[in-house]
Amino acid sequence: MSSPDEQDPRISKISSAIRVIPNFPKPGIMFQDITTLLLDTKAFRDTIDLFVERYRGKDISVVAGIEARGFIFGPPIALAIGAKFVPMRKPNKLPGEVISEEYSLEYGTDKIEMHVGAVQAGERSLIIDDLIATGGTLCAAIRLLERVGVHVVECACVIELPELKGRERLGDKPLFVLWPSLKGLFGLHYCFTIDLIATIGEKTRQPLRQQVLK
Amino acid sequence: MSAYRDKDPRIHGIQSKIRVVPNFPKPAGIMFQDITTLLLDPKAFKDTVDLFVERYKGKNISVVAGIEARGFIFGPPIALEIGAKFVPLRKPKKLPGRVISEEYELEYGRDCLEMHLGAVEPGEQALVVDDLIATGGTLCAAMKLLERVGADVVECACVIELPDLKGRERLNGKPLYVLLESH
Repeated sequence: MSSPDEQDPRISKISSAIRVIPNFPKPGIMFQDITTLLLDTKAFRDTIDLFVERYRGKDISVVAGIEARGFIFGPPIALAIGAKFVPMRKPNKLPGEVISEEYSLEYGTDKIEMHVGAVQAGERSLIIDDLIATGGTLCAAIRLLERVGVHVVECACVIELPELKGRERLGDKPLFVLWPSLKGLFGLHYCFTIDLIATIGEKTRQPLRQQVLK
Repeated sequence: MSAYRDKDPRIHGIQSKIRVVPNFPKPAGIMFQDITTLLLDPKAFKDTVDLFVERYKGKNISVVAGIEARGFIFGPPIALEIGAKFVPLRKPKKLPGRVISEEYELEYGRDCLEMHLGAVEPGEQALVVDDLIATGGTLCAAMKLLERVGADVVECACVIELPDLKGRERLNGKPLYVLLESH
């Protein structure tokens, strides 16, 4: 089982703190916005705790986080389990010597980079990002670490979009998520409903937290 | 005010983990202060966070704003420990939903920083966190964003200051707290 027990009372609070933004960054995309989770101090704390409880004491010495939202969740986890934090970045951001891994996008390719020497062969690692969609970025991150002899124990995300089949793209690498997103599963009907609710929310100018959509 | 001057015993360990990379991002004598090597040392990274947490815990700070992207590494652990919310301040078009923007000057040209509308409420007490202050342009823009929505910026906090670039003066009297200076 790759998600925690759904009866865990912390999960529903975390899920309800995540905001769905329709048509971002492009029309038709339902963007899962974790910034509202970060505004809820207890829910953010619970999110970190759920990962830490899973990974503490498992001899994990590396937490790799994918730029930029992986930088928000990775370091608190790394600090709590006593691991180093390794940022994985877009090209030309890391100074010094790097290794790069290219990966496919819907149109074209992108690249992520890691510092040479940040990790040692034989280390055990997690990879953290806020969300797994198609799994392209996570896959590239796994390849980067494996190229230098690191054992990737698990990929960990707050949210999964199961309909995009990212989990399958990871092959034999385990994936742990806090919330399989049901929000993506209802298709077009839900898109229109969310769009309407978001429009009403904007017009009433409610504080951000109250605009969280289920 | 900097912890370096206070000679906290943890400072030396932190300083020794920061790597200087010459001629990055471009040749021309820039000595880039690379904090990623600090993050590889769990004890030094923890000490870094602890030094900020000790300063800010119990001071009624409800917002830690972190500047993309290295402010995202230091800000959230501080926010979690002091019980504040974390607010990411981002380059244009990264934040979904409604944002406010603040433009600022670079050496050549301009850039822009954005914050979500509604993330911060008037009257909240805020910190701004980044890995380093150079000219202070980005920190200044960050402070303006928070002040425009009625927050009170209590202090800017960075791991490293480059005092020769006089960023501290650009903060319009706002206090700046750093752990280390690099000349």
